[in-house]
Amino acid sequence: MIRIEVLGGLGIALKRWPQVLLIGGMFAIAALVLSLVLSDVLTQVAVLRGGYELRARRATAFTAYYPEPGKAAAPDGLVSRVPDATIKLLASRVEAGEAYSAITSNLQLDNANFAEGHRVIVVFGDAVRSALPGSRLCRPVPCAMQGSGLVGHAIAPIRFAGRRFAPDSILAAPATFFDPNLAGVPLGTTILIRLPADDLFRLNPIEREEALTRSVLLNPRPAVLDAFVAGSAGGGLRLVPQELAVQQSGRLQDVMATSGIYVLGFAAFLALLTVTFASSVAQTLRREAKSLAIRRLWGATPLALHIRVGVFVGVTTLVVPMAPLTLLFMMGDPFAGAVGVVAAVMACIFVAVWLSASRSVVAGVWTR
Amino acid sequence: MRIRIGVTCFLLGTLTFFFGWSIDRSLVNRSTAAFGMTGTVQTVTVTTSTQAVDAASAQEAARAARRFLVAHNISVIIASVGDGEPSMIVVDPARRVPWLSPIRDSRGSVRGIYLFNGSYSAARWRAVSSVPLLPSVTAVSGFVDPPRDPERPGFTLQYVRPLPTLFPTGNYVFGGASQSDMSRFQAILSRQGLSAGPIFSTPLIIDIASTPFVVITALLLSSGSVATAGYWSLLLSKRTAESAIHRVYGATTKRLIIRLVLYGAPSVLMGLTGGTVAASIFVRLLSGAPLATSHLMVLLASLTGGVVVVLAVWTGATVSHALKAGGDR
Repeated sequence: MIRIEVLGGLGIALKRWPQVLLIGGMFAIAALVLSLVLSDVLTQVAVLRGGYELRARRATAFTAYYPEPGKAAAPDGLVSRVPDATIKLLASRVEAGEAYSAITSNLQLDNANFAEGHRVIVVFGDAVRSALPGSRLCRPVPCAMQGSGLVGHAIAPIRFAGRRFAPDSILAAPATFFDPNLAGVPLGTTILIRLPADDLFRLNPIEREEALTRSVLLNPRPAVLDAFVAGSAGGGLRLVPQELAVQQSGRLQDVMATSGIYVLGFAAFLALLTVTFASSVAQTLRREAKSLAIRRLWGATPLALHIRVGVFVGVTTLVVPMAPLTLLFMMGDPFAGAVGVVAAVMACIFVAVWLSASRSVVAGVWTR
Repeated sequence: MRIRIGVTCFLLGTLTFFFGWSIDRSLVNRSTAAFGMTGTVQTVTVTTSTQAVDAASAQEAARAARRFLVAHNISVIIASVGDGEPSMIVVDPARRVPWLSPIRDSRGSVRGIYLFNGSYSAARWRAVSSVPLLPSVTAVSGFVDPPRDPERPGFTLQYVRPLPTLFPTGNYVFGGASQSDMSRFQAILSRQGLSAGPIFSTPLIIDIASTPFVVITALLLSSGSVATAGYWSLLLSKRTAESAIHRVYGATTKRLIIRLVLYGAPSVLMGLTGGTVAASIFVRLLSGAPLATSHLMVLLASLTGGVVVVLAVWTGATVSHALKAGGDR
């Protein structure tokens, strides 16, 4: 019996294929775009939430303005010459747990075979924990860790800053380094080296410059911040302080406003589409009323009519939109989560239209 | 039926406001990208060129460039991009940069250093009368409101300074320059040892149409209108018999249309007003921005545009209905 009803429902849909394709296509496009927008929003919110601990500790990061080519402060080319006193100031703050620093991109630029081409990130200070939420760090410093994606790779000991490192512990997945200027850096296939603050003096000029620009001071006293900024500027490296709590709450608000508009806009559009569809379904079923009444006279149960109407409604709201959604779902993160939400919304629309349509049909046919 | 029309118009009203808001946002972004320079702008990134230039001819070229700007009434904003001082240089002989007006002299130049309100440097100067980023500077001429909100990411410039002897590298935004002005100015700069990248000048309409936010809200509004038109013609189809009776009693197509348009018009107006106002309140709560006149302007513009478009859709639905009712007779 069920098969006959399903085929019958499909028949109603096939008879009105232009209408099914038009409305189903609109549902499909709306569901697809909503999934894309939603996955973008979810990613951005996740990145901003990663910086939560840094915001809570009133972290100040820096935007760097490098020396201009050929200016007096940089006699040997483009690299700044920040005085040792400023490095010492940073080292003392790192030592006290009130700052951390990192080098992520300019490590051993003149050594092409450094760490056999694996990505290496060097960090200074215990306070770097705030930028590595959820990760357990190796100790005692100096030490090295490897990303979970490198397990099983034989990694030769790495020489850096006059030391030898063999990664002996693993960064639990999914480890992410939250860099204020780069957002989230995934550490799956990265080697993380922890160094003591005094090793800041052992870096080459380019690494030293990067360590200064990527330093993050936690709740710094104004005098310390000013001395750090003035010392760096004296060496030709101008570091503009940025309080993360202020900057990121502004960004969070922008993201919230845009995504709120998207979500509400799509909700309004889906509502318009749903009422249009529901009323066109009602019209279709009015035209089918005679054939449904005849079925009832020949012994069709209410359940059978419900199924017939449900299949017709489902073709438009579920089957047509599911094709692009499934493709998107198979692309995995970050789309999969958003597709789930949108599929749930489509299911709700299906149930709402189905209930309203089949109730009126059953009532209409049975009272005749 | 009036309530149904009102509810759909409420939903369309929210979509209309979002569309209007997205256009307003893209205009604001365009203006901030041009650092508040009004009119058509051209953007060029200027870097140091590889060819060596001796000091005397470089200074001569810089003087020529300066004269050229004043003689041709061209405004230029030079913003540092990642090297040198975190500062901005503005030459504005034609008064195209509104935020500069408090500090510009009669020839459109700035004399002295003016710190951007809200920046780190302004706060330090107010607190301790020194600017850590400018260790050698002991005198600051004053403060000026920046062309972008320094509490939003992406704006780290700290002050406006006078044009130095030589033109610096950076991001150049020109106002009031023709195509030939641009190439002549580039030629002068190259004599100073600078090389200019490609010129970017996007027409307003393309700039707006290529903003994803605008594209998505436009799609929502247009497909929402299509869905609404479909819904309304289904609603009206229930009145076919009634309209046919009106016909029989002598109503012309025109009278029938006017009757139906006037029947729906109050719901359309009320629904749209409610929808746009509700959406504007929602946006204001989310963005946390203070109520500005621009917000009200967007509201009024969306409402006006929405009323015109939606009444046209409603009229279209009634026209097709009236013609059908005529055919039924």
